[in-house]
Amino acid sequence: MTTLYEELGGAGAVDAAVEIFYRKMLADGRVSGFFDNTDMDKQISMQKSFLTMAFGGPNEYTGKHLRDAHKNLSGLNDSHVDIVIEHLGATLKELGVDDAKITKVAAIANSVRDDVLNR
Amino acid sequence: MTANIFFQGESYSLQDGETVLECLLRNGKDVSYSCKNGVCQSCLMHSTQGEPTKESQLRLKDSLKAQNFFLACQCRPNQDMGIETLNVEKEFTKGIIYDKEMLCHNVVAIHIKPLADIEARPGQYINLMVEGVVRSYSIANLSNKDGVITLHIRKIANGIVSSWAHDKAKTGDSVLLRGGMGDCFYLGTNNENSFPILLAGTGTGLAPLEAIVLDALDHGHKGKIHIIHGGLKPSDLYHMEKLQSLADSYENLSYTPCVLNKENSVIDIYEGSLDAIVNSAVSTADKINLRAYFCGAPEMVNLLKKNTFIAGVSSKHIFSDPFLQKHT
Ligand SMILES: Cc1cc2nc3c(=O)[nH]c(=O)nc-3n(C[C@H](O)[C@H](O)[C@H](O)COP(=O)(O)OP(=O)(O)OC[C@H]3O[C@@H](n4cnc5c(N)ncnc54)[C@H](O)[C@@H]3O)c2cc1C
Ligand code: HEM
Ligand code: FES
Repeated sequence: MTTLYEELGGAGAVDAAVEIFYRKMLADGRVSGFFDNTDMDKQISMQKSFLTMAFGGPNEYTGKHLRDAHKNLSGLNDSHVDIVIEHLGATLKELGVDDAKITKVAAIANSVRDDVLNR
Repeated sequence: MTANIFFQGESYSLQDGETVLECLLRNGKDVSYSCKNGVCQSCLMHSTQGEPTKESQLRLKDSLKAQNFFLACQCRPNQDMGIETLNVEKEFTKGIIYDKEMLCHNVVAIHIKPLADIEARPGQYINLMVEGVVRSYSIANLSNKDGVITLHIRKIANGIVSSWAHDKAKTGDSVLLRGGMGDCFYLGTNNENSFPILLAGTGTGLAPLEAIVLDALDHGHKGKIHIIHGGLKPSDLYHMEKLQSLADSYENLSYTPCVLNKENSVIDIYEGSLDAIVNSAVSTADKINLRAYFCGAPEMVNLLKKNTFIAGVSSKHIFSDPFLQKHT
C-alpha cells in the first residue's frame, strides 16, 4: 500500500511545497514574528522536515523533539497552529492536491498540537 | 551519555548541548574563532579520531569534509573525538602585501599577492590570518585574472584585524590566507547568461558585489545587472565614480548609490532606506529568473533576503554573506 507521502509525490512534493508554505508564513503578520530571529536557510531545511512529517513521510521527530523546538516561542497558542494548518492547506491546493488528501495532512499536523504547544 | 574530546594531550568532557568550541573556551584554551554561527570558518579544526557531526561539515567543501575537517562552533559530538588545530603551514598560503590605499574615511583596500594559487572565485571570501587571529574578508576583484587579491576592510573600533589593516599593514608585509569559501559568485555559463542579477549591500558589503559584477561583465553576461550600494551618509560610499563609469559603458549595468541621510550633499545619490530601494527593484524584476546577492551588515542582509523571498524569488536564487563579527 502506498503512503500518503508517496501519493503526494515524496521528496519532490516537499521541495515544491516548502517554498510556497514558508513564503505564506513569513508574509503573515500573525505568525511571522516567530521567525524573526531565525536564519532563513536553516529555516527552509527545517521546514522540509516539518512538511515531510505533515505528509506522513519518514519521520525523525519525536514528541520530545517537537516540544524542545517550540518551547522557547513565547505566546505560541492554538490560533497559531490553526494558521499553520490553514497555510498548509492553501499551499497544497495551489499545487493541485485534492481535498481528501488535504484533510489527511491537516489531521497529521493537528495530531502534534499538544507537543508543539507543550501541554 | 557525555562525550569527551582529546586535545593537546588532555581530555575534556562536554557538558550537555555544548559545542566543541564552547568546551575548549570554557577550559581556557586559546583557539581561533569569530562568528560562532558556522559562517566565517575561522574555527575550522581537524578530527584525528571520530567522525565530525553532519552539522559541523554542512558548509565545508567536499575536499575538507573528506579529510575530517569540521567547524568547532557547530560541532556537538555524540561520541568521543580527538581533535587538533589547523596545521598553519599546510592549510594556509603565504601572501605579500603589494599595495594599500584608502577608499573612504573608514575603508582601506589591501592588495595581496599570494605566493601560491588560491582556488577562489571573485566574490567568495577568504580567511586572513594576522597576529595569530583569523577573520573572513571578501574578494573584491577579478583575483583569478589579476593574480592579486583585493580586500576592502572597514575600520572597527578595537577590532584586531581591521586595526592591523588600517594602522599597521604596509607594502611588503606577509600575511596568511586560506580560501575561497561561500556561494556568492557569478554562476552564468555560455548557454545561460541572460538572467537578471540584483546586488545590494551596505559598507564593505560592496566588495563581493563589485567582484561579482566584474566577473559577470567579464563573462559577457547578457541579462540586466543592477548594483545598489547603501551607506548612512555620502562619505560612507566609495568607488562611486568607478561604478558610475562602468555603468555608463555597459548598457545592461545600472548602479544606484543610496544613503539614509544626504546631509546637504549635491551629488546625485538616492536618499532613503536600502530595503525600500531593493523592494522596488525586485517588484519590477523577472522574479522567476532573478539571481539576488546581498552582502554586508547582517540585519540588513537578513531583511533583504526575507523580503526578496516573500516577493516570490526562489530561495535557491538568493545568495548572501552576512558579515558577522566576533560573537562574544
Ligand atoms: C563571510 C564574511 C565575509 C566578510 N567580509 C568582510 C569584508 O569584505 N570586509 C570587511 O570589512 N569585513 C568583512 N567581514 C567582517 C570581518 O570578518 C571581521 O569580523 C571584521 O573585520 C572585524 O574583525 P576585527 O578582527 O577587526 O575585530 P574583532 O577583534 O573581531 O572585534 C569585533 C568587535 O567585537 C568587539 N569585541 C571583540 N572581542 C570582544 C570581547 N571579548 N568583548 C567585547 N567586545 C569584543 C570589538 O571591540 C569589535 O567591536 C566579513 C565577515 C564574514 C563572516
Ligand atoms: C502544526 C504543527 C507543527 C509542527 C509539526 C512543527 C514542526 C517543527 C519542526 C520539525 C521544527 C524543526 C525542529 C528542529 O529541527 O530543530 C520546527 C521548528 C520551528 N517551528 Fe514548528 N511546527 C509546528 C507548528 C509551529 C507553529 C504554530 C509555529 C509558530 C507560528 C512554529 C514555529 C517554529 C519555529 C520558529 C521553529 C524554529 C525554532 C528554532 O529556531 O530553533 N511551529 N517546527
Ligand atoms: S564558523 Fe565557527 S566561529 Fe565562525
